[in-house]
Amino acid sequence: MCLKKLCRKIDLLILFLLLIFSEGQAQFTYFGKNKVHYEKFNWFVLKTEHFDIYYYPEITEIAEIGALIAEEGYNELKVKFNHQILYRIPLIFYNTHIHFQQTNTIPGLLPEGVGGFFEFIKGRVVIPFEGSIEKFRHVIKHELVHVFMLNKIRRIQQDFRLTSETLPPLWFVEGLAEYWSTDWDSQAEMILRDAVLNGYAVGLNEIDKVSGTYLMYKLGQLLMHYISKTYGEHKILMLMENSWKSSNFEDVWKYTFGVDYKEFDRDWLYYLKKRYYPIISDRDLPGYSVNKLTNSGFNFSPVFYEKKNESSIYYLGNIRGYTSIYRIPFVKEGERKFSEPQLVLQGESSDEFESLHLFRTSFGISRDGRIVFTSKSKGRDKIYIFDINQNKITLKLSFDEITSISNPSFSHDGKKITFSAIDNKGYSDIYVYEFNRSKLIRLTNDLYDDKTPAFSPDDNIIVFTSDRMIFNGKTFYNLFSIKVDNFELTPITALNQNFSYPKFTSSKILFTCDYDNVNNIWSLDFNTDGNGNFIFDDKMKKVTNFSTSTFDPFIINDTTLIFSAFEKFSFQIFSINNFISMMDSINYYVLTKIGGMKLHWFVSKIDGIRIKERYKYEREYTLDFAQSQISTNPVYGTTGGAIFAVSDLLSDEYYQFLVFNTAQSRDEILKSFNVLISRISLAQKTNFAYGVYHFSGRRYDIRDSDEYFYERSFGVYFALSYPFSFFRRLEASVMLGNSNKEVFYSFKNRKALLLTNTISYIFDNSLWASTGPIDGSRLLILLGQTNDIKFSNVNYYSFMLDYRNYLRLGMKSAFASRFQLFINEGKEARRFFMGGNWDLRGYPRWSIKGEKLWLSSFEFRFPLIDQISLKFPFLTVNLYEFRGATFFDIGNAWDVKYKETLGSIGFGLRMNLFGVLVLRYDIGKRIEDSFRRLQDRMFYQFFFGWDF
Amino acid sequence: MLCNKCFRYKSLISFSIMTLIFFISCTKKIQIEKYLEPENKWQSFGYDSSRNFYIRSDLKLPLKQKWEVELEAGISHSSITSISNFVCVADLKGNVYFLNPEIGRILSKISLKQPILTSVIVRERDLIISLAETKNKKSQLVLYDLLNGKVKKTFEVEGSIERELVLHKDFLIATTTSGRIYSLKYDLNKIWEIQLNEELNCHPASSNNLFVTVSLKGNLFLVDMMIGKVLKKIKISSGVNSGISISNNLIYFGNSDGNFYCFTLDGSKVWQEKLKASVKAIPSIDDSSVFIGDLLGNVYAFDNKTGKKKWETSFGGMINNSILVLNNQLIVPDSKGFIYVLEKLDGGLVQKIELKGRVKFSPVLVKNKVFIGYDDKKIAAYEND
Repeated sequence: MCLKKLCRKIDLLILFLLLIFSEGQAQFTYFGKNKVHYEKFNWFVLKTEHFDIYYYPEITEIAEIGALIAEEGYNELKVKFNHQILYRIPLIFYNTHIHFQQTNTIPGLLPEGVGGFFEFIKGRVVIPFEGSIEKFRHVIKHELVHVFMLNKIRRIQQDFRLTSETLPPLWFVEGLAEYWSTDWDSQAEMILRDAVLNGYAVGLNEIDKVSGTYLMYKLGQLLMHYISKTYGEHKILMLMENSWKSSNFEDVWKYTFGVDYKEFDRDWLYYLKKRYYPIISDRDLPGYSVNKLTNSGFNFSPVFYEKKNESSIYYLGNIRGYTSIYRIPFVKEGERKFSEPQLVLQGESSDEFESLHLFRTSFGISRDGRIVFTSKSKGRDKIYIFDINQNKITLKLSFDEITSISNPSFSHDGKKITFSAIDNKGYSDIYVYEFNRSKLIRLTNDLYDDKTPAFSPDDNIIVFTSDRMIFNGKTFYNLFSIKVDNFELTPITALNQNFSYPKFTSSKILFTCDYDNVNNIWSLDFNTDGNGNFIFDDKMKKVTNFSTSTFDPFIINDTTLIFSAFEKFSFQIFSINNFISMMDSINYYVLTKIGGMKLHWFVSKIDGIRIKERYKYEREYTLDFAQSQISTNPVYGTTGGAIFAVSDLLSDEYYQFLVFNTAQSRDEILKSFNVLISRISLAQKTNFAYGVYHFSGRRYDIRDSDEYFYERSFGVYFALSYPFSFFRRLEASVMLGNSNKEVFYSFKNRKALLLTNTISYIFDNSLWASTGPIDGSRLLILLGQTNDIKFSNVNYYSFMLDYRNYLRLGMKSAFASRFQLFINEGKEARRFFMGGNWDLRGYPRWSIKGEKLWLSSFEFRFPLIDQISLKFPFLTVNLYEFRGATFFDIGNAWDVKYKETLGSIGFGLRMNLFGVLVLRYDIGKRIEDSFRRLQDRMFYQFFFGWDF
Repeated sequence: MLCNKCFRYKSLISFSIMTLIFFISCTKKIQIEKYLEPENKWQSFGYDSSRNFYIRSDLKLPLKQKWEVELEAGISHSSITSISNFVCVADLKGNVYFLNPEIGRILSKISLKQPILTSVIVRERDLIISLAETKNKKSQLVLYDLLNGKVKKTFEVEGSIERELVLHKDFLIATTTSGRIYSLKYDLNKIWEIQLNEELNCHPASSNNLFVTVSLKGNLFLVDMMIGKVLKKIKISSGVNSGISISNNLIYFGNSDGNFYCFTLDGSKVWQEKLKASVKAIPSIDDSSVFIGDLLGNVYAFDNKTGKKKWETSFGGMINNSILVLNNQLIVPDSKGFIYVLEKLDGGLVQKIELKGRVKFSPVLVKNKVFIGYDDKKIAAYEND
């Protein structure tokens, strides 16, 4: 292992740079998607009593609100944890998830489902503001719970001089964070009801099965409620304060509660059943009571369109992994048959439709068959109009003052659209865009979270939901109307419940409301007076009576209702043919207004007294990591070294230092120092790095024709990476270094002043499954030149082409193909190599070398076994997702003359081990003798590594 | 011949080193004996078993740090104990230290290898140390012979002793987290044992042969110390994670709801006040007032008989250790890393001392020195120069 580290210094450097710049989903390759920094954030720091808050001037108001929330949260949590944090906590705020995804505080890409995080290296809490003060408060407090928990447990472990740092299990960590940051709401209730009623809720003994899922969060949260109610909330703190008693959390649990997991589950699971089973005595599960139109994936926002007597439903779904727009024929009630969804527009695989925001937005449709939807594209959300009849995008809209857009819908005359959007200050407001005048009109402009707007039948008012109502100190989303011409705002409802997704019929508004702890669909009648003013009824009627939540209702011809609902941990599309009669049969009314609701509440910000300081951010570097190593081997002796890195608080700039020494005697110490010092800058769209190096020592490098030699090299390098988009980037590098090589056993001494230039283009829109890519494609084209500009001892050019395509055959199966052509041509050209599980299977690893190489692989990937449970008396081990593959590899490598073509065929097994690495086992036969015969015996190869 | 000489010198050197070690050890034992004069003692947590944290003394100000010493492991929320010429402190790794109070030098150390969450009792020539339960070892009381430097006797308990012992002139009482109460003579022979069937996380106190504690379920227990009989059980609002203080036949304590209570010794409620946050500290009481802090850093002074609030002040930190009450001043430990010296009469701030970490110990005053313990593993002494 040490040998290889010595050998590949320069290549490691390039690899390292590439990994820094690109999202490293693929091991040891150059692909990956890009974290693109579209914005140049001008950071400031706001210091309060306990926090250093990092923000940019556009969101100063949000930062001050967040500062107050953080200080209040700190005081609340210090009492709950009986603990003080003595260091200043860095809080970094972003406006919208789109800006948040550009953060460098975490090296990888941030998926849309991440609402904020706390990272351990510098103790940073990073949070996006997404338009809602209440959600902001929740996320800030959630992350602060993590900060307190980690600090407290570390303190306990230090006090007791415990050598190993063990944290509680993830379900406890996240469950407590949810419990102490937010109330039990309709979304939580929906998840737990579904889990219990559909039989997939698990107790503590099996909670690993749902580890990392949203169900785990909510199970953990409800568990905390249960503990508080049954044992007392003090037990939660005791679990942490007893953590010194054992490194095994289950032992600590048993000590604190007096029962182990199994015994605890007996009562806990019984409690869940008692809580939820009675619900279906008078409520329905949608899959058992109404017409189900889809059967897999997550599907939202159904809309209806009839074209040439063909009725269709269009919706947003992710059945194949990419969130896209799909179409299914509209099935009438009674015809329980699931049609294969037809892909209308694929998202998440091209620059234009980088993300369709599956969970965050719906889309709308006009009467003439235009779909309006929103997608992230190059740093902000844009609105697209897709014409169903023309089957193409007919309009794209982008607004400089708006970052994030959601829930667009058409007016009834099709001449306008309305949508909610978050502007550069963080305000979430309602907008109208008029096509004829190409004019954007802003209807609201305040800190309240306004969303899900819909035009009235006469297009004169827009009904939307907003959190501007407050009741007993808590905000609720109610329905409001606003006149398009004069912006006159009127509350329609005033309840201490949450409303969403209003949709008009000719005489009613339908919407969802969590009146009975989940979101069912309700209806509110209206009339108009002589002046065209809308008069809404004071009673709303229940349309659906499900035990689970519904979303995005859409009405067809005033009688048929289609919607999305949560069932069996997925979101499916359902329809009700005559919703009026269903509503009449339920016959349940609720008044739309109660006393005590206050319209408008004051958004509190931190006051000047509590602000200690405010100043422009300046970089101060702190240590990220430091690691040392000493190793020895019989050939090269002992080496020792260290690597450490420092970065600023926002991780926009890194300095990395690698130092090691390969001296075998005292005389060699000075000249055997190997040093690499790099500066890496990630602050702007173009990422770059530069540095200096000195490497010296004996090397075994299979890519060098001399293979075994002593080399001393020193020089400088510069590299940059420019991302065109999330999927495509350009990389370039220049390296100038002096190389002095002494080849063992041949007395050859080669001096050179090497100048290496490379430029490459990378494209990657692949979709990954558990063992490797399953959809999309990846491409690398690289050109390079290496010259000895002083002695002319080295002079070669490089060309690399690597193309991989993944043809999706089914949900979990694909046909993968790869073509590689690598050429180094010229004087002292370096060699490529192949052989082994990662490329030409059946041949010894890296045994085939040459200055030119080509390789083609074809592989059919398919699922094999979903789960294996090994139950030992003391332990249960669950292994998931065994996958199979049949493959055919062909290629060879050569220096001057191409000799023969090598190949192999076979079958392989892969298993993802706890999400960390993939184990692979291949068996097959080589194709030998210039493809004339198969190898007599089989080959067997076992290793690790992702599929290509 | 050269080898033989080397061998002889080597042996001589080894013998010398071993002799030196022996003498050093012996010297330590002899020094301890010199300090064992029972005067000016702060024998247990809270000064005595009524836990008033009150000493009739004045303090010259301003205070300055005289010395600071680092232990091997962290410390719990307890305090030092003191017998005349040395102070005694325990850490969470099971080490008991004897420190020279003048210069802070560690005179001696005993390693018992089980966490000690309470203060060490020094009685005549013995130490009584409570060891908490670990995964592999049961909780026990240890009687340690200071003169001979060895464990005289141990007593294993069911549950874990993690709260302070109560001392009577003839016996001691220990409580465990599982709700057992033991009465033992000072030679660790058991007198009686009872089980309350409720978890205890409260520092108990005693007065007039009455033992008082509150359970985590929120029941106040009055126990006859002599015979181990529960005389009364009174329900209050929620559990107590702090401790009891008794003065002039009145019981004082605060609970996790932020309620602060005063009861008589026969269990009648005298008064109750609502504080702004939970209480983790034991109240401190002088002749006319009771002082308490809460977890939001507020400090209150109440009339100890009527409960009328005399004054209130706030530091924004967290008061989870007890306040030391002197004739005219209060020494208030703030978990945020400060010690405040306040005027007892009106809570006015006289001096603020910044420490390097969270305060863990309730302050103790012995011979004009204030002893305090804080993170990370530190014990310090402050006095006026």
